[in-house]
Amino acid sequence: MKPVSRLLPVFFFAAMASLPLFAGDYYQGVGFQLLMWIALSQSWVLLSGLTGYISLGHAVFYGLGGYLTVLTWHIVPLPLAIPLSGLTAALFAAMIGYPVMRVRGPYFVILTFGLAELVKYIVINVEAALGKFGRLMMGAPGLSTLYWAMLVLAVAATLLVVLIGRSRFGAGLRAIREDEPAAETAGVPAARYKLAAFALSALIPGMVGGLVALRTSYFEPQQIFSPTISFTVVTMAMIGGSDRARGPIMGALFLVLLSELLWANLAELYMIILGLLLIGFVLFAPTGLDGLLRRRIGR
Amino acid sequence: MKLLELNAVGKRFGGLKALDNVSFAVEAGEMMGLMGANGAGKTTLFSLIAGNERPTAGEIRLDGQSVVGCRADQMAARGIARTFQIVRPFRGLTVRENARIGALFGSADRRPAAAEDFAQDILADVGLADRADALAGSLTLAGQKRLEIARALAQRPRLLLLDEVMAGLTPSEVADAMTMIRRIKEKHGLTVLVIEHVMSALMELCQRIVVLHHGMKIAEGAPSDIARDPRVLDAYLGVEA
Amino acid sequence: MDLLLSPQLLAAALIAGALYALVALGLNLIYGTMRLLNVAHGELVMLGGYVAYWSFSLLGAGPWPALILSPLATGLLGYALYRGLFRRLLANSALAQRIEANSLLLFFGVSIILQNLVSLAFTATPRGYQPFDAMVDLGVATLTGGRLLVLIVAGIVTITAVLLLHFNTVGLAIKALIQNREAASLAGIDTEKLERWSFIAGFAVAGLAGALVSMVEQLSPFMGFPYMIAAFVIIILGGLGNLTGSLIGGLILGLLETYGVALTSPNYRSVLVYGVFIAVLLIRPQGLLGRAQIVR
Repeated sequence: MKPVSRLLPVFFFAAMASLPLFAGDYYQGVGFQLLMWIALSQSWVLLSGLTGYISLGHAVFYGLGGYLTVLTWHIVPLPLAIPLSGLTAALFAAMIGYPVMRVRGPYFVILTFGLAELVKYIVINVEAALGKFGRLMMGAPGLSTLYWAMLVLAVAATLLVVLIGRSRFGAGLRAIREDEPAAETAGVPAARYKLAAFALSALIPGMVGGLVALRTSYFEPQQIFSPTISFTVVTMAMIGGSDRARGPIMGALFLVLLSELLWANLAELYMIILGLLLIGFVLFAPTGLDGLLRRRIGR
Repeated sequence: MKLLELNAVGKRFGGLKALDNVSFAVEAGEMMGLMGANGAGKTTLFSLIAGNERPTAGEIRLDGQSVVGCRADQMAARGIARTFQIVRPFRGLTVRENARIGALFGSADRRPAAAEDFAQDILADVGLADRADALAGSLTLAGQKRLEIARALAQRPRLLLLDEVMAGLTPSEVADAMTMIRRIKEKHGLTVLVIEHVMSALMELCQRIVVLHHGMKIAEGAPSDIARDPRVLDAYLGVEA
Repeated sequence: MDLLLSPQLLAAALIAGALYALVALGLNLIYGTMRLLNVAHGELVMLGGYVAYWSFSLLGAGPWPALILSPLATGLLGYALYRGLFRRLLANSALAQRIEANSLLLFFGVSIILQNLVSLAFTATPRGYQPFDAMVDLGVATLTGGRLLVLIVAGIVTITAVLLLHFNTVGLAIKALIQNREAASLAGIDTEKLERWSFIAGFAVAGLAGALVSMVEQLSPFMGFPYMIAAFVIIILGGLGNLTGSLIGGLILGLLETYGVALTSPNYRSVLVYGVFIAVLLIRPQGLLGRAQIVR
């Protein structure tokens, strides 16, 4: 039993890799969405799950990456533009990370939220000044190419969580989460580690943003910097489990399936159930689906 | 050379003077005691030495080098480890993982594999080996105090600061704790600074004792001298010695 | 220049400020006392607004009943949520360790549920009504009756709140509770009862603010969001737990927004608000008026 559960992510990604072989456009689209949410949630876990600094503004990295891809469209070739978008987001995080991560607890939560909104409105104003109200991207790659790219990102994000989770860096991050002053006393270089986690967590969302902008062929700041994205990521990680790589996969799968069942006709009902689930998990299963699974089968 | 030197160290919190003009030195290999009533400034002194706080006056030297301004993690790298008066275990992590943190980020071999083994050894030293997989939050207070010590030990420190590790223990537990402290000091070649309210234990364990009162040093010397010192008796009139 | 110095603009700024102060006060009553991060606070304002709208439309008795019904409705909701959810959270020691994060998530769930329930029940179409259409000439400025009412009621409630806090035993007890729960309890204050009532009061005040808002703005299920953000910005500016600070902060925000927009353009409103907010947080994490916390 134990080895099988450890390999869950492997089976999952193998299944996702074979999806294009037998699924039509619609389901590939759903798969694309699912992979996107996994990539975003895993990178959120890298920061907020491991350090305990809950970010409600994760969309800012996603949006910035998307914006860079849009700005360099037809100027920089895509295989370069996408990684560049990720790097830009990471650089942005590195620049603001030091003052930002000095802020603790609830202040940090609200700060990250405010940050995402601030960047959103700055971009809106910049676009307005440039005379652009939404941008269309002609000639973007098709779904099949984008699907593989997103699969790669989702796998990379998962791998990052797995590898870091097992590393000395990850142990230090968890210690910071449990008790930051005690961790520092034990020798964990907290400020440096937090900055690194912050910057790393921005890398993949930056690239994801670029891919999503290409998929929708349309860029609009209100959409790409939307707080709903930040909130959904947090919800998926909380429901799935925010300490290990398996969590976001389960959380995202669960919610995407649920939304497929309900969204078309009963969007509000889906959201209400989401709210109830969140409440239920926080109160009764704070370690998420992953935690429940672990309790049943060992590890 | 002295391992640790404090020269005219002072600490203010706003208008409050927690420590004022405290000077003493600790030789390598010593077991030194720090005594004083509640609020005398003992824990604050530990915070200054370990880098959790900065002194507002005076100098702290480790191996002759000034360490004022070093952060807590930098002091850990230089070989200082401390326990907290109110225990601060990593509750959501297991006992073993707690000790492992000390091993991974302390002052010596930081490779994960070596750290794992060393942590296990340390747990055996403090008698927690059989509870290695339990969550730190599930231990009793006595167990958590031992875990604090284990985590500090795992850092491979040269100087260990123990803050009231015997508080709340029964007399026989106190005796066990003293034996354990002596043992680990021997085994790991440590210098130890001990804060204790259990006077009898402090007198028995330590070769030298520094007495603080209202943030100032009022006496320093061998336990027998301290027990007879008029200033100490005056400050502690009525307290069991 | 004319516009900037006009009493009209000042009135608008004061109304905005008073409303913000009220919303922030409610949030601080919940956060300051129990460290619960109420991100559903905007939805309480929204609910208060809808109750007012329906009372006006159905009862046709003018806006006055709304001023009672809205806080009553949200207060009751507060009681229900306290009994059902938050007491559980506060009682569970493992969860209470990370009370801000966990309460945030719980309230977030509540907020999603409220928004979508209202959307299901009343559709997302914006609604509005005009309680007092007639213009009132105050000599210096002209306001619709509705806006004047909002200004007066919000002003009275906020000033009463400040007075209560400073001169009344209960107010004093609340301040004690905010400063140090354990000490307050040791001093003989029934902290559990006080917390419960603060929680309910916070909800009720938000509902009242909603009723007032409904008289000057349109209602929609998702309108609560900006109010929630504004409330957080304000209590951060004024210092978390500092009740008087949040009242002052509300006024400042109202002035800042109104005059800032008048000076630049409506587009920059958000950049201004969030920019100031982030700058304050980064420079002085405890807010402009809050006290620094020594993290041990």
